[in-house]
Amino acid sequence: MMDLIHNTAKINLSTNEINIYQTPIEDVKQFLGGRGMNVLELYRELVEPSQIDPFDPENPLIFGNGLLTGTTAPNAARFNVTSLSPETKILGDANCGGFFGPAMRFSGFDRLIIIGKSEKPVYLYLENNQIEIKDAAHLWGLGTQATQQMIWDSEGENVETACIGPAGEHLVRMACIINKKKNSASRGGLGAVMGSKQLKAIVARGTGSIKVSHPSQFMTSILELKDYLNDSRVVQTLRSLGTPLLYQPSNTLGAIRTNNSQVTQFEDSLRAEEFHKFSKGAMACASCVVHCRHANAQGGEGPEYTAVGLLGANCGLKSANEVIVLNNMCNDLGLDISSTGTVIPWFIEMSQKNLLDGMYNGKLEFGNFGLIQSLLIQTSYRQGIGSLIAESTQFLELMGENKSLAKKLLIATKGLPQSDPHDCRYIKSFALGIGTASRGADHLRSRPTLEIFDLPKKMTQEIYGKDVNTSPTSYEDKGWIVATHESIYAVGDGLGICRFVTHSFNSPHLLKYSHFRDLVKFGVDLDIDNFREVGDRIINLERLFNIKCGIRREDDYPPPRYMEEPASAGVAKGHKIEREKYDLMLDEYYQTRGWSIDGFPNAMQVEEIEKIIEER
Amino acid sequence: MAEKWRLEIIQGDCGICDLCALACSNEKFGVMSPYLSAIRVNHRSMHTKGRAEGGPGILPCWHCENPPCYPACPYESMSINEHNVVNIFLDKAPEGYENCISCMKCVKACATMHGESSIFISPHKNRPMKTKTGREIMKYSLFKCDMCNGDPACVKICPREAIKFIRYS
Repeated sequence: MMDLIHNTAKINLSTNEINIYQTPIEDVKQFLGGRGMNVLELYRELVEPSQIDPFDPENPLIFGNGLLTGTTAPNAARFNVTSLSPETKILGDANCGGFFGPAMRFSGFDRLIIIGKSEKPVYLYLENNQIEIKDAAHLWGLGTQATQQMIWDSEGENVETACIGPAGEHLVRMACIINKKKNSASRGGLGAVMGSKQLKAIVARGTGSIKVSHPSQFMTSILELKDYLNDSRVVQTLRSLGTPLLYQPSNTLGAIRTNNSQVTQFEDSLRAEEFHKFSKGAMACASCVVHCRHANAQGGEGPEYTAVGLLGANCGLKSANEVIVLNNMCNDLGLDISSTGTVIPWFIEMSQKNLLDGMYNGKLEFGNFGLIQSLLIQTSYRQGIGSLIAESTQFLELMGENKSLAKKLLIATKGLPQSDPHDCRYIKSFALGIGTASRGADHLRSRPTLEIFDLPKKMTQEIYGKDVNTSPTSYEDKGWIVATHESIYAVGDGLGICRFVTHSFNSPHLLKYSHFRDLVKFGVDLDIDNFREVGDRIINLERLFNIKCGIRREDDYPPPRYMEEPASAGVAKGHKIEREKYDLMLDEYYQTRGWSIDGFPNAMQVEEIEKIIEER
Repeated sequence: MAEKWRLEIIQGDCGICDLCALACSNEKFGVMSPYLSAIRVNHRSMHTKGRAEGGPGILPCWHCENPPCYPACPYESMSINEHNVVNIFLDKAPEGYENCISCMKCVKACATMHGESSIFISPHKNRPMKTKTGREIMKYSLFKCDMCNGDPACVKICPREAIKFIRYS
């Protein structure tokens, strides 16, 4: 057994069979862990993903730690949850920080592959390389916070829990999985997959230990990296104000999604300083050097920039206090804030334009705090109009003649509501990144925003490996730029390292491939020459899975509104995405990836993956 | 007289990232685990009550000026050095001393003074004992913060400088 590489467990909740085996080292060399290994397991488990429903017991739900998760490597706290998504019916993959990942590692597990469906509510209990399936009847129906309190009461203080709330239990297609107050594996509605299996929680007693291969070299390198990252301006700013600091620049640019993206600028009342008044100090995930997460005076944590923009501006709410209350509610109910803050405004606009006639006859409105509050509850329990909202983007399938009109108002790609509150009409590479993201419209797959900083040419050459056009409104070289970002983030997710310390995420002064190489060498004794290749391989495999689900070139476009209506305000006013130019940008992206003009990986790439799949 | 050493925690600057605990266990035992560390984080109290109100969120060895643990040891398993740092012998105790057999007297003394003990169970086993069913097992010995010979791993790794190494006389 290699240091840091421990067990994978396959758990069948229908038969209560548990099979524990050593995580295959050959796969680790090719896919690291976390997101990479998870998609490999999903690809193996689901041969024909288009043939099964995401709520079918055979749909695997995979919890996988990054290769370095649990060590002192900077911000190595993260695990991925992967499954066929009920929200998009394609790859569902959500990444989560907090403390559950390390606790699962310390309990002896790298990865859990959960299939089947339990007859009654249960939770999984992990300790010392063993797994027990326990009754969760007393937890079913509770919010995420009460669930964790009850588990602490019965299991003792030193356990970490990843659980679902009422939203997951009621199969809401945008339900998330929560650890502590706000660490969540949100995207793709994987909380609902957990609910469909009657699995309320996974509890890990992390009292065991892990070992790195070369402890003294590893620690020397960690101490250097700590100082290197502490010097980074973006780290210092995130620590002081957290992600809400991004609101003001986006709003000035005229790129804050407001009232379901009908307008692109909102009130100043949601700037970071207003939220800071409610802050009770910056908190961290395990092994974090950034400490970006703020506890709030209302008893929760956050909000992040996403919640500020989507529960605030996009719902037409001006008050920081109200946004914090909604943020805390979503976390307790177990709702993905990104999807919720996109789908509710979509319903409001549809109601105002009479597209819901026959299905809902009331009128919804923007800027009504009480209404949004009650919609969150109705959605989580599938009551009234909530039963329609709970379908998220799949609601389109229930619509009749208004479907195509409704689709034009929906800010989503591949069926996934856009996560970032940033309107993509101005920065073209951002729009491309939203279009090509493997799980659907999501900024955390690429977020190529370095261009707005106007960095010196020498620096951009170093980042992108060649001279690129960095004008945010140009359509040139954006395929190259997006692919560069996507690949290093895929590696970061494989290692379990947070975006906020990964090179090129808002700053070039962060961890590069060369840093990753040292960490993996001293941590696991693995010599990986070319991390870029690993990142590309993960993205190729995700693409192959999505192709099996029916994804084609036409699914790689940004939301229709960004292509049809110009931005309404600020610097971005008048800008939109020109379809013909986007076509060329997408061509260049496929070319960079080595894919065909239709977006299919090439024969060599397919062969490489097939070989890995067959070898085990 | 030599300077004395102690740690000071600025609880308000701590973000509970566990890095201090992982660096400590790595330094002491060559593994990473928040539960094999001489400095601990109480996650539940942090979670429920918030950082400031959560009592001792970070629990280090306080390195008391008059440490209650040292005189409490009925065996010769503890030493105190010129910097007022108390150490427990887990293995390789020098002549005249013996390895800790986990009688828990120091733990009680520490907890009496601070409400919660900063002396913990180590992965070393020194003391053979019989269980109720007559099975012979080895009991784990105790360990505590030994200040890493004046260069504490927890102080070095803390990204927020919330742990200070204090020299005083």
